[in-house]
Amino acid sequence: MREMEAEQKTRTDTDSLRYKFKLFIKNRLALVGLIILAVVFVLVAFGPTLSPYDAFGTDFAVKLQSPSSAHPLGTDNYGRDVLSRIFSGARHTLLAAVISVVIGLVLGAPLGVISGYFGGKVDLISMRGVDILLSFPPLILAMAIVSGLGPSLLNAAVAIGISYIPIFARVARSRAVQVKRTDYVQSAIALGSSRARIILTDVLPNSMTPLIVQATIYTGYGILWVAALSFIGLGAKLPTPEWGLMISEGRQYIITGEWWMTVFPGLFIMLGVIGFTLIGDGIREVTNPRLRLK
Amino acid sequence: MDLWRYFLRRIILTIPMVFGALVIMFTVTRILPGDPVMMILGPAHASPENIASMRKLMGLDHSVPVQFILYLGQLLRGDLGFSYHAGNPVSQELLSRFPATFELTTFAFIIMVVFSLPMGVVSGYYRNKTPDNAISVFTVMGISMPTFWLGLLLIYIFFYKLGLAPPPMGRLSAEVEFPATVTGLLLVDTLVAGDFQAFLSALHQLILPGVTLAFFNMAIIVRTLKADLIETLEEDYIRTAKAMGIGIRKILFRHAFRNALLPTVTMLGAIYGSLLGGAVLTEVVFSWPGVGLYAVESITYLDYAGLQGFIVFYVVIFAIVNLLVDLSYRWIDPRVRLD
Repeated sequence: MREMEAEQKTRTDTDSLRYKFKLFIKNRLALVGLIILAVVFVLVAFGPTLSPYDAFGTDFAVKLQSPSSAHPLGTDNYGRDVLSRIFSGARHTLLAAVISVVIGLVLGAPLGVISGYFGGKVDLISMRGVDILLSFPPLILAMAIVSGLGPSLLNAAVAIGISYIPIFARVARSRAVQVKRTDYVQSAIALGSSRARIILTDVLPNSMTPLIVQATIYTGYGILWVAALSFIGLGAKLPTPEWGLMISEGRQYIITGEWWMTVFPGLFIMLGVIGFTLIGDGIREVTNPRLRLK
Repeated sequence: MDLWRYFLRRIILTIPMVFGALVIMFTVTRILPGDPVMMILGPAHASPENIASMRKLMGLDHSVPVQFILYLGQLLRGDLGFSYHAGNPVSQELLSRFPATFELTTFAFIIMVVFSLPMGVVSGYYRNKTPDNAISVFTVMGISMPTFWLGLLLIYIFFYKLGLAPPPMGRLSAEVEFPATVTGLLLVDTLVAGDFQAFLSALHQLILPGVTLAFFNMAIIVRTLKADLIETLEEDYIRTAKAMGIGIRKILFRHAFRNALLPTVTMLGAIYGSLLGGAVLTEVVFSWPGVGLYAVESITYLDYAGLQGFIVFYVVIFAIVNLLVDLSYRWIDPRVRLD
């Protein structure tokens, strides 16, 4: 009797959030990801306050200076402090990436769930549409969309979000198909639950984990695409301290050796992407017992 | 016979895809906020008569649905419209620029395959040991680096610092004469012309953009191949082969590698597409005169026809690549039937 109780206890323990969090922390890479993201979020929240200089304050007396104690990451061609611009710009790049994922998730996940749950013609037609969208790499699709909406950071985020719809639709659909076959959904159907109820209380919550994993990883990629669109002139406008735009501004100076204008914003982009990727992988590992055993 | 029917079906299936892409493209570009007519004429020539005649010339005096039907009619005749900023028909512009993009993406593709397949195998075989960890660092960096940033970094190191790379301006050094155009691929044309110095110059120009473009996708292939190899190595038939005393090298390359390769090959089509997309950024960084650079210029000049032409062109190329990839499954895995 006592043994059974103990077994029950451990079983609920492995499913508890606390246990999962412990596992997550044990995974050293995920912990690194968490630390990186904490830093990034501090920058998003307090970037301008933490900046030693005004991100827009030009001072030609100190233009194009290499990193020094006064300007740890150097100054740009207008004499603006690169460190301050990176700190203040974190929110632009990050928020755009988050918005893109939210759009992809909000439009894609319901589409996938409905498509997977109802099957048949609904599934066929919506998945054809998804295939068409998928046939464009995000950058090409975003180029088409942004050129239609006009270049701005928000439009870049919207465009990337649209290119994310098929990704979330696919993930949600495959989960919905799986969940629909489970006994508890079948019994809910037998009990006469409405479709809306089943979708909202069974299918959607059970599709959350893979969606969260994808959302985390694609926020990271979102940083890359936002920066890329800004780089080719389809995102943030001057003089916004957006990271991709900063690289584009530094571009012409790299040939003459002023590397800091370009290198540092790029490093922060990388850091952000790595943070989100590691966290996504970490969540995947914690929530998927099969991967955990390996 | 079987093969031809499959071929035909695939081509027919491609049509709705291209059509859907066209509809999206068209609606999106027609709600552009800027006015392309003003852009072409410039403020000096923007008299009302000029504007009206230009609108008529560009077909902008019709309603959007009519414009779309007219556009489709043109497409069927192989006419992609006139590119105002380049001063040439779009189809001519794309065709003359495509060899540059094709040369770049193919070169990158070769670099990618040559380096990523061995890395994937090593990483999968030595899982969680030093070689795998080293490769993991490399792949994590690969997927998190912005392509254009890597390109600029390479320019700084190899052009500015070390002086090993040529200036990032186009496909040939300024001192070298262009060979007569045969294929449009400079590596081929220079050899045809027997100009070895030009060949070396073309190769020299190609290396940095090629590596830049290959890097991101290389990381993705390594990760996929590693995961698949790990799974394959746990299969019963591998254990049996080990028990039979077959050498590990033979097991790895004859048995495991071939079976683990299939999901990777599935990705190659998408990856070539992604290379074409990434080529846009790489071409901008290295002033590489390909279709991607043309697309970005078209956006800058509000050149509807140019951008649309690029997207149509892209979708068609992508469909062809996917068809080839599907066909190649049969070669790798005879169990896959064409249906």
